[in-house]
Amino acid sequence: MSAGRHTHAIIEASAVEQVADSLGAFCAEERLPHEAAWRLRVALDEIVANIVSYGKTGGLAALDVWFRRLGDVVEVTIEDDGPAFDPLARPAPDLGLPLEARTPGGLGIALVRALMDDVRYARTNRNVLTIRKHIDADPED
Amino acid sequence: MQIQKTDRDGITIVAPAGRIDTTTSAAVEDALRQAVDAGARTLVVDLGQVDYISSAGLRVFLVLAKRMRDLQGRLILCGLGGPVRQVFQLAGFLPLFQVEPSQDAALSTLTHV
Repeated sequence: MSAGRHTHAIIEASAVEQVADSLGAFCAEERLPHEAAWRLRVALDEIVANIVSYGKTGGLAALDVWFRRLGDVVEVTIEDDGPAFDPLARPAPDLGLPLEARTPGGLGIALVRALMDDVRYARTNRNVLTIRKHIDADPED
Repeated sequence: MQIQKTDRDGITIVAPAGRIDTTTSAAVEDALRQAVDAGARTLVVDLGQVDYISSAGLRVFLVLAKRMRDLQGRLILCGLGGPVRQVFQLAGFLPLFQVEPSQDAALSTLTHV
């Protein structure tokens, strides 16, 4: 098991790229297969973009992200100072609707759930979202 | 982000390269909107050079599909690689679009009707 990685960001638009860069460095250190790396990247894009759009509380509200490898599982924990919000409590969008009835609402969190093996929300004095992805052997490696 | 735009026999081909996510989706949206504003009614979007797409990118294609339908235009997506295709599939987006394997296949469906 490695020491992992941590990044701290102010909740503003640039946080999305900052977290993505940190994930990129973590994936390189851990030599994660491409499949796991892009799934984590899309999931984190959704999660951090959501925090930035709904989590603005003014001042110096921040978020922290911890990346850890636990054997063949990658665990990423995202904590933010935004207002209490459980993204998993939202009803899943109906993905079978025709074009005219489709809206982008709820798609991001639906993708996170589909791309990850496990997603959990907890409320402390912050929002705490934990995502896990099992690492399969990459046939290309 | 690099976005290549080509016009060939009245068909507009837009080919973004890289990732389409929260940071880059506005550039893709602008390029597509400008093409349609300029009169493109037969549009091929080649995603062959796109590494992956997040819901911010899916939103761009949902808006584009609705607009092209309102304009009675034609929209074909092509070249969807592994991660891009998987995200379209997970979001239930594949049935909303005409999807062809390659730019050549897309062009041949448009020219052989």
